[in-house]
Amino acid sequence: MSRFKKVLFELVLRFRKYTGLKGRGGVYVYAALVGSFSALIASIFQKCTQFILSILTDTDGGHFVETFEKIEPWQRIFSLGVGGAVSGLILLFASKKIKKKATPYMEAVAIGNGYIPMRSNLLRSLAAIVTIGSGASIGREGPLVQTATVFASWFGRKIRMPLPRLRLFIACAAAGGMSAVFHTPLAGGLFVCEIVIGVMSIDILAPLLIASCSSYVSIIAFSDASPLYEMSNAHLSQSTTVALFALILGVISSLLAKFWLVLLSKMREILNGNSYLLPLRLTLAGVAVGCIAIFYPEIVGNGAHIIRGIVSADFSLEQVFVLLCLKIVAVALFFGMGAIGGVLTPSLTIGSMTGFLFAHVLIMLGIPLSSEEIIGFSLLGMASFFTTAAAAPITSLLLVVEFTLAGKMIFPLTIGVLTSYFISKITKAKSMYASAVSRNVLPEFNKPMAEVKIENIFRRGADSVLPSDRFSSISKKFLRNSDEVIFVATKTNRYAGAIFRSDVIEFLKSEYLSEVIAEDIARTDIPSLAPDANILDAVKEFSSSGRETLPIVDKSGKFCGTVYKSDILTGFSEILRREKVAG
Amino acid sequence: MSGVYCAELSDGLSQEECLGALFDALKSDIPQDKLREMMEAVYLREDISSTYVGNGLAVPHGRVDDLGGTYIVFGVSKGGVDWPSEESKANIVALIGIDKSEVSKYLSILQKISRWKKQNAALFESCNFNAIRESVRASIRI
Repeated sequence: MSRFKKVLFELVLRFRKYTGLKGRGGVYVYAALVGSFSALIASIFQKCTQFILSILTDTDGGHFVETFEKIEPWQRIFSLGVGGAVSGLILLFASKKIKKKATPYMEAVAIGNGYIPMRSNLLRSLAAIVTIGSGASIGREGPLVQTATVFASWFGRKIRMPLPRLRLFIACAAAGGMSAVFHTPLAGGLFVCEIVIGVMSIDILAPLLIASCSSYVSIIAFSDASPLYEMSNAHLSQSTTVALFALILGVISSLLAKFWLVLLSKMREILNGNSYLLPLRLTLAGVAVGCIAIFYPEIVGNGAHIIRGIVSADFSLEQVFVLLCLKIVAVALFFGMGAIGGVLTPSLTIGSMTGFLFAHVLIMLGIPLSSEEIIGFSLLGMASFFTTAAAAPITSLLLVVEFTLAGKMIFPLTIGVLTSYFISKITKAKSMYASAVSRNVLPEFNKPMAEVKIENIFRRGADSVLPSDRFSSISKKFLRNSDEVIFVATKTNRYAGAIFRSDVIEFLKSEYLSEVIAEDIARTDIPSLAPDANILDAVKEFSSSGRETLPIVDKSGKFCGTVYKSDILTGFSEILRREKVAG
Repeated sequence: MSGVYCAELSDGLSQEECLGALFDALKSDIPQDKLREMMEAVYLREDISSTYVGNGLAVPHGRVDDLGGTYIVFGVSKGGVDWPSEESKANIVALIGIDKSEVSKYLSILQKISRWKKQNAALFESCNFNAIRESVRASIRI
């Protein structure tokens, strides 16, 4: 097996070398591939949770709430209790028997070294499948995306991707996963860019969007990719009154989201103690929520059923109020007890219920609202709530618009989202993803900016040509790859200059230049960086030279590798995030 | 300042003597220190690999920082110059001096010379200095 793996990876490495995938253009190819792969993982994950649901409830599976409505009360408690116990045992086994601890993908992308251990993370994914499949009030997006990124990290490390690219590759897997879960190709990429990476740059965003679009295309090809909660009939007029209401709802949603974040954090602090008691805790959480589900089966699952119910006006004001309280309790209970699952969809559900209740308060105050406007306020609540919960205004806006197709509501949504973001800054709300992106800052970046070295960022083992290499072979390299530059180094690996695509592009197919060698066209008038140069020196050199790539040359003149401007940008995002974390 | 020149070379010159004669033709155009730099660059380049391109043509060149212009000197030798051995005898030696950053221009010049060589095979056979000078004036412009 190990021999087969070696041969396989050698083939991949050769393919990468000869097809130019190591170059800058390669990242787009990888992004597209990993996006489709994430869609596949999403599909398998979904099937697995359905399988668990069908076993635990002795049904054919299907929608969680509909399944729970059909089964006996004791089965509801049984399904959630057993699910909690089994997933607790799996998590206990993972924490005691697997040496390498699980790393959240957000940490691996944002501040880690791109390493996501395989066994511990896959066991956590298995635990999540059991928890979610049993009907727990928790989302599937988190563990699903985590599973896709585990494989991305493994693959990226196997083919020796440099650190910045490895992280981007993992981020692409995450974007693909998000897109597959929510059927949102645009918001999938933005989610990772804004929340996980924290820096909006076209160099980063473009591959993420390619991955999320590729994932979406795969979903279209193999299953139903229609918007999750189509609310194209939602309507709020573009008036000053609506703007005022959007502002008020933005404030209310933000404050409620702040309370929600504090509650989640406190519950984890209080309830998630001794790891040996994890199976017992999750069983208790399951039994407690199972008891509630006897009377309110709507609280099982991630909350998507409630959102659909609000859209189709299935719930009365009183029902929504009760469901809001119960949903908060159920999610906080599972989350606090240590269940593995996402809180994104539950957050959206709570937000939509907040908006719904707000609309009904307006009606009580004598302001007439149509059913379309009630749905409109529900949407507004959803986007505003999630803005504070995730500290991501742009993603919130686009996510909600994309999976509801309520594009005409962009004006009130923007007001609500921005108000919520403003309030979250005042109340110092800490995003529900903050802990994942603030733990274990990579030591190389956990220092003052001026001390962060290029050696932590640059790409080793870059391709180069010899000074005596013929123009024909150099032309081939340029024609095959999209690289801006090819570096020249002697047999003893001494740096000898750089050949720029822009200098030679019009001659690449010339038949008269066969005697030209690399030495004839190499330039030495571009700056190089020493491995021990700091990131600020690199910025200066990139800025003054106007180049996209610079060579790394040590004091003895040895050619060590290359650094792209986008690598520096990634490094900066790292430092900025660390500084943001440090406060 | 830039220029294209032609020089008639006496027979029996070595590669070094030939290059010396061609550099002499540039003395008035290029400052002494830059000319020295160019000479060094030309010899270094010949050390890496010969600039003989076949059919009696050699294109030695020196790329120098801040040369301040582009210069070509065509040296014509009826008997030919060993470049560097007898098997590669150059009847026409085109010495190019060019700024190091002018890569595109260098390739363009080289392409022009190669094309000129291909289209004027008879000139290379006759090695008639006046005819070559006229042809260079008409075809090779910087």
